[in-house]
Amino acid sequence: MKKRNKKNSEIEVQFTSMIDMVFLLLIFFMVTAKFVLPERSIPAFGMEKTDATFGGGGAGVEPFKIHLRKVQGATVVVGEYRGEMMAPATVNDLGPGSDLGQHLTAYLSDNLNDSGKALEGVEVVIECEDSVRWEAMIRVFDIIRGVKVEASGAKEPATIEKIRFEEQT
Amino acid sequence: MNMTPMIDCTMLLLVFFMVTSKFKSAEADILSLAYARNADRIESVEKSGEMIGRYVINVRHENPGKKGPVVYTVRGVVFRHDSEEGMKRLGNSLKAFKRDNPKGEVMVRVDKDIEYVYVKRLQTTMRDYLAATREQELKVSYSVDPNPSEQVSQ
Repeated sequence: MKKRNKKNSEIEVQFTSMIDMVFLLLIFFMVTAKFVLPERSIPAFGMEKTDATFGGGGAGVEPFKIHLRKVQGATVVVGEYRGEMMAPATVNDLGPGSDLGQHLTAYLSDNLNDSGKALEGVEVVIECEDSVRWEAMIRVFDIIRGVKVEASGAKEPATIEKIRFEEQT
Repeated sequence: MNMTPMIDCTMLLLVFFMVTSKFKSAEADILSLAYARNADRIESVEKSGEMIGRYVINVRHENPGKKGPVVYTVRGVVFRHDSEEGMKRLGNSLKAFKRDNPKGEVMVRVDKDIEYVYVKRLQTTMRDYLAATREQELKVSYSVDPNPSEQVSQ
């Protein structure tokens, strides 16, 4: 029988099993990792119980109306203010500089109080056909929320805070 | 063979992926959100050490590939839009959530190809909930994608 010479033997660390585990974990995390940009959110509108805020039309301000229609498969947006209809635009033509964006900005800047805030009844009423896709609706929300008017004396630019849905008649 | 640099590298990668990986929550279904530029950051569900709770409703087609009927899903539970019973259960589930999380918020994740009528249905359910409770207001928001997408398909 061989006799081990304890004095001369070197202690060896076995790497194999450790590397097995490390690679296993590494591959697992590499495969499951998915880099995603966090989502963002926009507030949903008209979720208050009180009809006073829901009925709109305070201080004699007329709401700005937006109609979303499906025409020959395309979503068409028409703005309406004081009974006057604007030129129809497709959803893709919308933008802050678009006709609708400019009309909304004009509507907001016409209805500011002395301290540069939007008046009580300032709101946008959306009337939408059932078959309009959600993406188009969000595009319209985005335009409305992007309307900002800098007023002298106000710390923050005024925005349109209220959006309301109207049932189709 | 010199193992040291390899183990250095491997450990570095391992630690990186372990730290950065975030497991997808069971609440969020895989769906394509609509793009919006003017959107707010989603706040953490923990506000000054207090969990406020979030009720996530997904609105999507039942089957992958935008096929099948439109369903509302909450934590994996499927509610069918066309069943009165399903919508009632959804309302009750919301009620139970608000009872347990008085400051809870509702987050609605809608697939961008869903037609507006299905969101309207959900809004009606939430209004009915409000009408039936003492709550004055329900904080609801829609999830959107902050990355610009291509044109809105008609």
